[in-house]
Amino acid sequence: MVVLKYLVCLYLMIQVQALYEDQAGKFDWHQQLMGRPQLVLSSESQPLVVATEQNVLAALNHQTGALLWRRVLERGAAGQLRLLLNSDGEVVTFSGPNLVRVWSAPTGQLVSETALDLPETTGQTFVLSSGARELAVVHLSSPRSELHRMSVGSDQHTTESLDTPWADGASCVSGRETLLCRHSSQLYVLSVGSARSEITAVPLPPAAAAPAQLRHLGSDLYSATGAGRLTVLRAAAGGVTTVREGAGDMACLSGPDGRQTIYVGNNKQDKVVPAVQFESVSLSGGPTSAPTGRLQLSTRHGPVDACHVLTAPGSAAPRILLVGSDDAVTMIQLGDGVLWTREESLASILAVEVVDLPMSANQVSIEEEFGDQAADPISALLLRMSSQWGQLAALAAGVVRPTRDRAADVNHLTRDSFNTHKMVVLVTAAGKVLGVHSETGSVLWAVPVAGLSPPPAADSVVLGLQRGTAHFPHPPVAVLLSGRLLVTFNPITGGDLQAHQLPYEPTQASLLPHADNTHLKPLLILDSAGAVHVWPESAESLAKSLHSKLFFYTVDVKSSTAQGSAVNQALETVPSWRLDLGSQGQTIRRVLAKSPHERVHSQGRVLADRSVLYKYSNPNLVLVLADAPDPVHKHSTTAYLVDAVTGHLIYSHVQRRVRCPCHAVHSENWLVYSVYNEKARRTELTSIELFEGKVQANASAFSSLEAPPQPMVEKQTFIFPTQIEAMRETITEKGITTKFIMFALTSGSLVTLNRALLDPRRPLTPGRASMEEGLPPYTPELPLPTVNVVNYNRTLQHVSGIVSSPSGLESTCLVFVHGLDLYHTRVFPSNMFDQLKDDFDSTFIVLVLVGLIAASAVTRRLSQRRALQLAWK
Amino acid sequence: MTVDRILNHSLVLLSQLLLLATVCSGDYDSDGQLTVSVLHSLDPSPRGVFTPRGAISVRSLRSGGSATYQPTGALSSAELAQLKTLVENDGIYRLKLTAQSLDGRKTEVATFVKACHLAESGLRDTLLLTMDAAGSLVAASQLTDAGRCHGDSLAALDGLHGFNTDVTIRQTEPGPIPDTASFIQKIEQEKLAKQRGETKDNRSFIAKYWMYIVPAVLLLMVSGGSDPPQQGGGGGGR
Repeated sequence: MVVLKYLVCLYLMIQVQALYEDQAGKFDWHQQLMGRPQLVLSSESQPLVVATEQNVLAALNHQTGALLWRRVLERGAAGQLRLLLNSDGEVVTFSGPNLVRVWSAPTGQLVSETALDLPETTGQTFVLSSGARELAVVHLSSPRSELHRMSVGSDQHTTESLDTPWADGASCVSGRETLLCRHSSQLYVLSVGSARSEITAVPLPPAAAAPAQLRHLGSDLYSATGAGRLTVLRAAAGGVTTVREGAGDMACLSGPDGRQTIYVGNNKQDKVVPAVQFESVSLSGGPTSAPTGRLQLSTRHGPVDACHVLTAPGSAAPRILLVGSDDAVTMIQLGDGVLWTREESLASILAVEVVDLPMSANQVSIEEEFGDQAADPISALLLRMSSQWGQLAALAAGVVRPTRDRAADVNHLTRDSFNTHKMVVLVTAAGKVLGVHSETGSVLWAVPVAGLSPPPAADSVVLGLQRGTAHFPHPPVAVLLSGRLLVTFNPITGGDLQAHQLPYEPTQASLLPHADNTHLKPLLILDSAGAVHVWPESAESLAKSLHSKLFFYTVDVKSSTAQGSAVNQALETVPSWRLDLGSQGQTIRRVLAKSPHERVHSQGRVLADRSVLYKYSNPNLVLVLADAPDPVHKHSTTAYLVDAVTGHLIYSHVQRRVRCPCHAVHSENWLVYSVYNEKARRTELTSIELFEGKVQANASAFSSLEAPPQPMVEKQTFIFPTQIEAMRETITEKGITTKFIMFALTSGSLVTLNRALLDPRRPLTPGRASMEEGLPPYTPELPLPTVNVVNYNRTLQHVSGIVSSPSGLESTCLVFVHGLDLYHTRVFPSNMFDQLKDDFDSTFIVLVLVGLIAASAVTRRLSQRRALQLAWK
Repeated sequence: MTVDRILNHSLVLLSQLLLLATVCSGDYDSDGQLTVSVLHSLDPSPRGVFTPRGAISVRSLRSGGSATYQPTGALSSAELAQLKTLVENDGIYRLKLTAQSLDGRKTEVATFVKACHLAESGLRDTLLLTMDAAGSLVAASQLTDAGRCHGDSLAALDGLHGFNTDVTIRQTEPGPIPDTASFIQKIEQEKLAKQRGETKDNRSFIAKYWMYIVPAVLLLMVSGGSDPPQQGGGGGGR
């Protein structure tokens, strides 16, 4: 019986919100991305095949730019695409150190895969092709390099040794049959076209000298671009000749050998609109018949970096694929205009901020109606009457003349009644800031920011909301800090963008939780010299008045130390605490504080005996995870819980034989982090929960400086059945709803798991007390039922992060997942307790009500008649 | 014979290694003691002027650790005056601890406490040192028993000339591992108990057979209710 009860309890916990078939796509949207194209393959009969920097092989529709198929290869260097070839309707790729794959171009099916038996190399690897199916792999290193020749489909290869004393520090570009290397003042051409390879050294043409960028155009042609000049070089076994020299930013080659045409593009600016001017150069010497043209791009895009011609020059207007410096992929037809654009910078998102949309006039009047609590009854009544009259008038006007859909216009965006539609502000590694509507996934605005790319480090980008949309007439302001660049902008419209170059080197930045008299939260920036700067500077007096409450902490990964500092009257930092975590070669892998937006609804947990176990909810608690190679146990991982204000190390433990990648969530009074167990080859989740005890030191506020005594630490480890790419906890407006943890798995699914299943207090043997408290008995392995997969069959590849944000409904948490796919959905951790189900049949209810009223009227009349007849009798 | 010799040899080598280790790490005494020097700053400026305050010798790290604190000397009147200014300005009293671990790495950790807390506790504090498994100093915390500052901090300082310091050593504890062994044991015990028929069903009769009783009662009620129609009708009409 007890077991049965537990099973029921467990079942209820596991069972969340599996979707019905007809609900698919109702609250969620999914976008597949591919990343920045690196190699492009095109012929008229085939789809456009692209290999990208994010290790994706994808095929696009020429006409629409829609993704026909996408194959995601291994992460990192193991999946790097080095060669893309077309061979009788099949696509041949060389990726990683030694993988040759043949794909069917129309369907993307893998036809064959060969792992070549190549020796390992410490140098660079380049792949050339000396024929349709002949490959040559160059392992370039100093003083000797190796050249392996093979043909696709066989794993036999011949090896040649080359004399390359210059290979160290050389920057090389691989072409078809030649490898072009630049080293100090020489240009080296390695040619593999003939049976024997040969290396030719020529003096470097001045146009191709160091800052200029070398690119392969096609066949034996290369381009060197830099500072608005473009030189086209022909590199062959005999030497290097200059074909064309002049102004230009990019070049692309079209046509078969002998009738080749080079299109040279120049980035122009028509007022604020970027444009590209194309001119054509015929290589056969004669005048070119190929069209030239000027083409306006969208203001959303930055200058163009590279181009690829897709149609033969015989046709009227060639199509050119443009790759922007902001990773935008645009297909144009010369003389015709832009055919389509793909926003591929979304595949490299660095920072996300979810912003509430502004309220409509109607909603504002409702807020005002109940806003003023202190008003006297008569004026409150008048206010309410006037506002309700306004609402009624607006409703009537809406019925008479329905307002047109303004969702696409950023200046008229308004909140929906449950605040479930938001603006998702994104910062990408390509140096672009975008605003995405969370309901549809459409990009409402996009601004390339000069100087933002490349970011100094992926996690050094700080994005914050200084002022929300609730403070009319003050516009909302978001702030972005990356290196020395500080950008402020309006997060709803993308306008008012202002970039500032800071005169100091920021090391840490965060928003002050207090707003100034214009409702703007100042950004505090700590510089490398230890001074605190305030942005905007007008808020310095506010920061000074709060200086005794300001504390900074910095974690130095290089020296494995954590340091804290207090702030004095002059806004200088006074180093106050320091931890040394570098013992035995430890490296800090993850530092995680709590979400500042989080609200803790309940102060404690009620135990079976009706006493309360109070939570230790220290808002300044920071989790630091560090791992180290261990001579006995291979690896060990240590978790530290530090109070960031006082530097008090609250708790630490070390786990043997486990290592990072570590993913973690930190919320309320608990933490969960994942490690990889090398011995058992599995992922393990460690759960820590902190309690103050049965009495609370200070029920109204928490101060780290007057901290309660050492908290009780409950901890437990569970086995997670699969591997994790990212994890995040759900967050709701008031924090009443049960917390769930969302896991993005390597298999591409997004799974939710009730936090109660990760409760470290789950007892091994069930007792009456734990049963009454609702604690399921301990099982070492966590269940992962398929009904918990939120994204059903929409696979999410290479997830880099999950962002959760509250909506206006307590039951609903909005989830945004980014990586190679973008996915947005709603989750209901405690089911939809505050709204009707979306399949609720309101027409049926109305019909029944009307029917009942009609029936009662009819029967009333009948009974009256009957009573009258009876009276006459 | 040969084995013996090799053993002897290795023993000699081992002792030499030990000797080397003790020579290398100057802060470790011959009996495995770790000395942590404690410096403090009564200066509110960002850099601070750190002067020696005492030393902690840590013994026997293996068994939980025990430590003694040896103060350098009593506070001079100048230092007391500095401390009083710190308390008046609501400043922080900073400590810096340096040690050398077994592998020869120098570690430096720092901590602080509000000067008024220190004054109100009568200069009585506890230093909590956290060491990791290798005996390296990871963190230090200075704890006082004053809950919050009441404002009469200066008066509490009268007549005090030195710190009264306790030292507590804490080691990084081993983390939890998935408890598969006891879970499997529990499952097997349950299985065994089931096989032996030991599981005594001590539920009450109703709890055991409610699924049979409820339908029977319902059936009885339904058939019994439809039996006497006259009585029911009469009652309803009245």
